[in-house]
Amino acid sequence: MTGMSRYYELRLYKMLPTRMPVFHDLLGVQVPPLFAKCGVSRPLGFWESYAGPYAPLFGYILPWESLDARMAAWTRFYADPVWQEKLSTNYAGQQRVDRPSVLILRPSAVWPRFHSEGPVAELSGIHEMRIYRGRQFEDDALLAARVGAAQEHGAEVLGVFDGWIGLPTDSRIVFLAWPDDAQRLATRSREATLYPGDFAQSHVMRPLGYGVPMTNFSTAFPERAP
Amino acid sequence: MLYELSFYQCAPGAWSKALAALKGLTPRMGQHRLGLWQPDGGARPAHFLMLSQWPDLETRDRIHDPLAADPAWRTTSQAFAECEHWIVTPTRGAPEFSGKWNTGELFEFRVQEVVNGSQAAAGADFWNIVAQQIATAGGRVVGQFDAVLGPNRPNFVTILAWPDFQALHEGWRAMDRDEGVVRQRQAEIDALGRPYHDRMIQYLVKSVAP
Repeated sequence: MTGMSRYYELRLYKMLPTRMPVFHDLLGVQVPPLFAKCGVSRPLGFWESYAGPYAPLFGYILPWESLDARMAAWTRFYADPVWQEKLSTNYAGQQRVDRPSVLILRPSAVWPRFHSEGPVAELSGIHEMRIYRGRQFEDDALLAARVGAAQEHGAEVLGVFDGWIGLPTDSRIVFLAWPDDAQRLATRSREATLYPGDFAQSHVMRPLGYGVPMTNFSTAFPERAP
Repeated sequence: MLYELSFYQCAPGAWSKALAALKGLTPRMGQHRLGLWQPDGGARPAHFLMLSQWPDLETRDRIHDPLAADPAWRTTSQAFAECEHWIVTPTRGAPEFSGKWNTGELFEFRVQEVVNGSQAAAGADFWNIVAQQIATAGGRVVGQFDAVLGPNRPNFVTILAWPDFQALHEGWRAMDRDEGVVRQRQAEIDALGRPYHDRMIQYLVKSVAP
């Protein structure tokens, strides 16, 4: 499989209640040009979630080839006068993000098995981020069996990652795109019967119009209206 | 310079094996490892804490990548139920962390949530008020870091040294009663609904390896 980056940065923001709507304008409209200016990678997908342990959640994922380049880019971003101005607007009595988590993932050895060979397209529908925990999931075959079962039941596999920094190193993070939530729920019920010993934290998310992930988290972005 | 704080939780009954595994990493870690401690208490379960320093993250991964791929380490690491690594950077005003510790002192690790967006104010508050009170009580700040890569940010990781438990207890007790500190905390609660420095995971630690 080609096109995988060495590292992926997953940013999960637990939002303060009612602050999500204005945050979309900040992250969806105002910040992307600033990312480009400061060398922050273009995000591969944006989501919001009202169903999961961090809800209300705003999340996005970015690819990196070098963590040192990542550190330098975010340092430039945070020091940029334009961002400083937006930050003071963001927090001056208007705090929006309660607790942000900044996590570094590595592509899993399992991921290439689920690489879609079809045309690259935006994957809408309902997305699910599963965080599998437990030493048993260090077994690639076991993880592949779980991901494969979801795929057989209608999910498209966006990506499969290993926890590297900021979350337990036995974490395996799987992003699935479901046609709808009924299909996802039916599969979860089936899995609960088949694999009663599994634990996977599940975040059910909607991809956002300004950052719908592409097949395989591809960087072949479509042209979007500004 | 970047720093890494690692939390290790042992598999049941595997404490000794886990300690041996971490000590066995010494040749690989070399000068990058600043300390390995056995924590006492703490709301987050941890059997060992480790602090490392790195000139950059490429150097870190040149050591971690072969380790993760090493079949011998994969077997040895079965002694751990969980490992988690955070990347932390010194806060503005923090002393340079030397890793040269007086082993006769009592060390305290405080992993404390800071209200998001208030890091600068919380840092100034710490150095202008809290650190002064700690010094008055006979303690000293060994290091303070901001977790830049990690969960549930922002978190300040503060490492303190106290002459003994009595000084630690009396120091924090006096802080809770100091009029200036009380006024400052009330102002923070009035403005934000909570103090800058919020929930905390605290460990008293004992060094188990250099």
